[in-house]
Amino acid sequence: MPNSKFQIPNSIILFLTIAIGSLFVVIAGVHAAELYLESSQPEYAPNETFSVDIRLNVIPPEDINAVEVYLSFPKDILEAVDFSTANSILTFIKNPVINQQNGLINFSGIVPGGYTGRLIGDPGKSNLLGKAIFKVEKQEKETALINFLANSQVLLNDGKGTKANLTFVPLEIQISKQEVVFNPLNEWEKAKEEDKIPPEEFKPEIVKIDDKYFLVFNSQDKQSGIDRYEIQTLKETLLGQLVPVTNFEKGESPYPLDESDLTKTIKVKAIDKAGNKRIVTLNPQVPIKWYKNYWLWGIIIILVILGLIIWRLFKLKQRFQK
Amino acid sequence: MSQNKFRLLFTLVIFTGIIGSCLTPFNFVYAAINTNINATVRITICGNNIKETGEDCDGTDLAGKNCLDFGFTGGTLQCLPSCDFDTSNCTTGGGGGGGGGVPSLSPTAVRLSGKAYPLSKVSVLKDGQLAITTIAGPDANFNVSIEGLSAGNYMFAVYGEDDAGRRSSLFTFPIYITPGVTTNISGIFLPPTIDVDKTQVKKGDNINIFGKSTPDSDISIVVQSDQEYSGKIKSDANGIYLYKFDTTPLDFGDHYTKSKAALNGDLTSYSKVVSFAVGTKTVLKTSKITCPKADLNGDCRVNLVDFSVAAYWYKRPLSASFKSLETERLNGDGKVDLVDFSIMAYYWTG
Repeated sequence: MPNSKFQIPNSIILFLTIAIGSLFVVIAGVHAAELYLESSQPEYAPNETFSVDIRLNVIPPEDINAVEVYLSFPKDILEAVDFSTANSILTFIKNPVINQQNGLINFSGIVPGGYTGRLIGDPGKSNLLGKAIFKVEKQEKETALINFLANSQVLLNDGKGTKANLTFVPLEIQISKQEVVFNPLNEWEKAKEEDKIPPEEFKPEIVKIDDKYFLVFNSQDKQSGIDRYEIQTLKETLLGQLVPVTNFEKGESPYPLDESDLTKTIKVKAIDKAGNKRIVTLNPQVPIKWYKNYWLWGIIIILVILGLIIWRLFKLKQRFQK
Repeated sequence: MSQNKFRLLFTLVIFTGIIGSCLTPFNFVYAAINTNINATVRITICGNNIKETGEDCDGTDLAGKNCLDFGFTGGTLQCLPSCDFDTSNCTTGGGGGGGGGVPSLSPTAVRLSGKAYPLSKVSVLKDGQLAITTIAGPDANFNVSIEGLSAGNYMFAVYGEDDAGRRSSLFTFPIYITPGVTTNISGIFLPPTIDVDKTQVKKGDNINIFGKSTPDSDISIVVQSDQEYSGKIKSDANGIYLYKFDTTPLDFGDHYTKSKAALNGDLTSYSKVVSFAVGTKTVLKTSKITCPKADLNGDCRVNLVDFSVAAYWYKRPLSASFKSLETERLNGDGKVDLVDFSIMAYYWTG
């Protein structure tokens, strides 16, 4: 077939191909979020404990409000010893879960009202989701890779829960051959040691779910993070003193209650990772039925006895007068 | 490479790009819906001994001023923990001296200021829970402080409520609170409230789009359909705006509208989105304020209580009674998962 008179040079076609291809790449990646990991040092030795920050970058004008993270780590090299929620931008749905057997850490939470990234002028790095605390068990390999699993997700703040375009940046830790024999206060232990501030004030509430009563509560601890909550019920004695019905028991929100608990005083103790405590008291929500009110019975009995004494005295007086 | 191979390569790239763009939704439209502009917010720290914009002084930094600059003849000018000048130790007779303030100890606090609507209730959430409320002035300005904080990262959210009980969308921002200083966050400009007078409008009739914002601000109204229609109107001296939109160009079906305000170069993010339908007859909207979606306990708020109710059912088989609530108030897929919590976070009121 003879060549046509007009031919586009190959160089022009190649240029247009690269230009248009790049445009599609830019358009597809124009809104995104990025999950990434940070540690204070690139290398740790066996027996050393260190923390890994799990952070979220949001590229404006992206607006996200829910995060679910699945983090994998080499279970034979690292032991996940703890997880700190201190300074997280998330309100956690459940306590973060460490599955050492499978080398997995999982957590999920929301940012009420959405998150669009750090504000210009913010003096701190306020994009933290949580801190995973690891201990190096042994040096089997020279590196340990901590990575996000593909089912981690970030959802848009659009009222529909649409998934955001998400990229992951893993962390590779170098493991040195020299084992640490004497381990001075590591960064996590130091953070706990320095935390002298109890968890923040909070207000428990009672809610009904499916005809059952539950106690809901949530506190924050900006230093080492909340470790656990404990709940205790108390009742009032005849002398007006509060005596425990139950000891402080570990519990999560929402905490199931019996209907009888509504007539008792409830104490909720928030304890942070450093052992600092904040106890909040919830007064009885429902007044005690009159026939169960021992004070009332006590008054009635006293009045009856007084009445009998007065009547007896009156009768004696009448006899003497006769 | 031959010409034909180049053409084949070109065609493949275009084809792949088109398919990829269809699978990864074009977000130019979504960008318009979800744009969250924080261009006006400024952060300064009172208590760091550096006078910043919006502060008269800061600790030992008196901006080169002394008592003489305030009409006194002597004494010691100082700086209050609020970063305002303290002339209480300035004198009007005898004695030299001038500047050189004594550093004042600031509490660890945050101060938020900005614009809402005239005499509106402004609520501030700290980490998702209601921390404080205040009332904006007749000029729509508000100023509120939260003290007794410990240092660390906080998520603050601010919203306004007009006199008809309509709430604005949340204006959220993360901030690190430095110990022993007052962090000032100024320039907050809350998005307008918005509502419509009809749930369904007869095609060709007008629908009234109205709400409240800062007085004398430029309100941009957007009506979203297959294409976007926009209009502008100015709010009056009370911050009220009312825009009559002719529905002639709209197709039958569901549409939605939103607004934003501009004043003196500052811009709000978009308001909440309000939906309406175009049909063959008009149905007026009742004046009753509807409770937000994701309100699971019927108190017209979406807060920690609703969150805890949903958390109970998270990854758990739903009871028959909760299933109907999930259908009505969440995404109705018969389970409680991250998507439902995302919906809840969107409608959060604290």
